[in-house]
Amino acid sequence: MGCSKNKAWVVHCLLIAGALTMLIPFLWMIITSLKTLMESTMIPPTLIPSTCQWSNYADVWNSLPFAAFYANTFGMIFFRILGSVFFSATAAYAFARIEFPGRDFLFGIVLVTMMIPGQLFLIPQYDIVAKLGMLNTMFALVMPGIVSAFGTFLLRQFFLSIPKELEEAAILDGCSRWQVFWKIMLPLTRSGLIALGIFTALFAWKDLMWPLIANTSLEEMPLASGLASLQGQYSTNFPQLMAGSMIAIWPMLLLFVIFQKHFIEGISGTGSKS
Amino acid sequence: MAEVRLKHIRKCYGDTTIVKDFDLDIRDKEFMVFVGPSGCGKSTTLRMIAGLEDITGGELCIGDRVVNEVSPKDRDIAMVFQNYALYPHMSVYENMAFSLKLRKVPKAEIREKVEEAARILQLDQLLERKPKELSGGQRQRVAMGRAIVRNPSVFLMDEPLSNLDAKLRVSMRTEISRLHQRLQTTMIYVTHDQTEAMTLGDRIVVMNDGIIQQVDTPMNLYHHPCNLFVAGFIGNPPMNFLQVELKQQDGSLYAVRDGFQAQIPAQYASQLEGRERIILGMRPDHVHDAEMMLAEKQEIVCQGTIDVVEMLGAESLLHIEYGDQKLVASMPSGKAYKPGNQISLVFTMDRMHAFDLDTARSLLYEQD
Ligand SMILES: Nc1ncnc2c1ncn2[C@@H]1O[C@H](COP(=O)(O)OP(=O)(O)OP(=O)(O)O)[C@@H](O)[C@H]1O
Ligand SMILES: [Mg+2]
Repeated sequence: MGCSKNKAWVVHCLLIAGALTMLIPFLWMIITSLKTLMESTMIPPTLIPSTCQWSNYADVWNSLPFAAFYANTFGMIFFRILGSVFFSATAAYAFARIEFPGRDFLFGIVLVTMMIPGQLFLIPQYDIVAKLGMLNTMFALVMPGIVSAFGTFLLRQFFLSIPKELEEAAILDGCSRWQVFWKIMLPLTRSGLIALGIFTALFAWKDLMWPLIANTSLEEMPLASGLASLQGQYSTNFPQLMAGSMIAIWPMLLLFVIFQKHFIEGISGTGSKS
Repeated sequence: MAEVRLKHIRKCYGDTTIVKDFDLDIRDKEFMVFVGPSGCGKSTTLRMIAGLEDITGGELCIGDRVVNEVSPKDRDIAMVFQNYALYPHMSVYENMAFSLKLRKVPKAEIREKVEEAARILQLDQLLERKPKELSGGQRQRVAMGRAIVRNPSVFLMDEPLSNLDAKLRVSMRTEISRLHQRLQTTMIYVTHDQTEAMTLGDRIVVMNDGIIQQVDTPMNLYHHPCNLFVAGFIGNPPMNFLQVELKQQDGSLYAVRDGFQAQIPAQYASQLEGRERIILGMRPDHVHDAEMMLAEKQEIVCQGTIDVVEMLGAESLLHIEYGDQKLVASMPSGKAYKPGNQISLVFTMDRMHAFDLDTARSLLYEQD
């Protein structure tokens, strides 16, 4: 009995140590955001800022159009979720349940695109958007994230796990193909859809490279690339950058708190199906 | 309110033919049961009637319409699936109302119909529950309810009771029977359980390997099986079969093999005339212990050794070995039988069956 108690102790200590390690960069971000520029580059670094420089927050807020950043970020997340959930779900349903020639081959191609590094697509994507004359628009931010091979794969697995009789019953009840999809299949893959939405949001949130390339005017940037503009070529005002990051981070924290359950469900990969 | 006619229906997957030349008229309001061993094509046939499976060849009529190309929802049928296929995200009420909603039936009318079906099936108290909060029997009833509210002209059921425990199955069986009487609708019911088939069916289709073996009333199937397969499939425990030679002796016909001799009743002798060998069929109910027979006229057909005794309550099943043959006899319980004991057997030859050695067809009863 004592032994198992000891074991729990050890496990807990390890977990706490792990959690603290994960927190250190975050704490460092908070600490740095309150330092002066001088203090932030001091060696050895100070642990506690000598004076709390709250003005860093005001300075960064005034020097960058944060309202536009937020609007662009949320717009990008919203449309990407909409797009990837819709297109992945329809494609996944077709791959899971409709028989058409070349289906498996096409699905193979979809899978293969997951194995190609995303950076390879940057230049063609830029080319397409530029030729459409859509650089520096919301469309440019949203476009590459509107379809998702991973989402198609994920939702296909969900659809495959739904018994075929359910669909047949719906067809006998009078559903068209679209109604089967909309009234039966989608509601039953809710947890899969939410997981995909969360993944899409996360990915859109931290997507830096593409927004940086596509939208170069400050007013059209999302938070990630907007903050990156604080990184000068020669010097970086770290306290301001960290203060900006602090401002940028809270909406995501809020989302996480709200959708915590779905985050974990989605990531552990097992949607609860009844 | 509709007859169903299958005219030379065929189903192939690639090169393999699953259902062969299926020719059947199902009458209006009839309770028709498809029965046969696993994989014989019962579900496939039912699914072709439902429209869930394409028909490779032949013509399917429901009412006076050819429906080969009619989509399932326009065939005026409802189907109950083996695993019920209830929509997990909908309540019992929504499950039953779903098809009516799709048909844009007015709300008040939907409520009325669902509530009536719920009353018939004793689901009134469960309308707000989700399927996962129901027992197997209740789910089964919801599945029936979903079919009833549509008031279809044909009911299709694919082994609707096979997921229930034995006791519930018996009570649901009665309920289905009652439902059929009440609704007066054509029903087509698939099962591999012959008790279900015998108790429910007005007529039964016995299938094997995608071929109809016999279509008949339960009693006719039992008493006049038209071939070896039906004889062996219908009836529990199955019929005993013995390969025998026919010998003419003192003006009577005898079925003979070593250690075995039985006189063929005069009414059958003419049908068997000219044959040398047949397969003799005898149900376990018609195999008796000579010591228990009172009438003197009985002649002993063979002697055997009791191998196993199975007590079933009202009767005991004796597995008897004689020579290299095995026979099963059903005896009224009362006398204690012991394995290893010798027993003399009497056959009720009036109830004999005879089958052709090569074609396996009955020599006494033709399928009409
Ligand atoms: N999609 C398919 N492709 C190829 N063969 C199939 C397909 N569906 C069914 N079969 C075959 O058709 C035959 C009949 O199947 P069916 O489901 O009708 O049998 P069943 O009589 O309902 O059996 P059970 O009592 O086990 O349900 C089986 O041998 C099965 O392997
Ligand atoms: Mg079946």
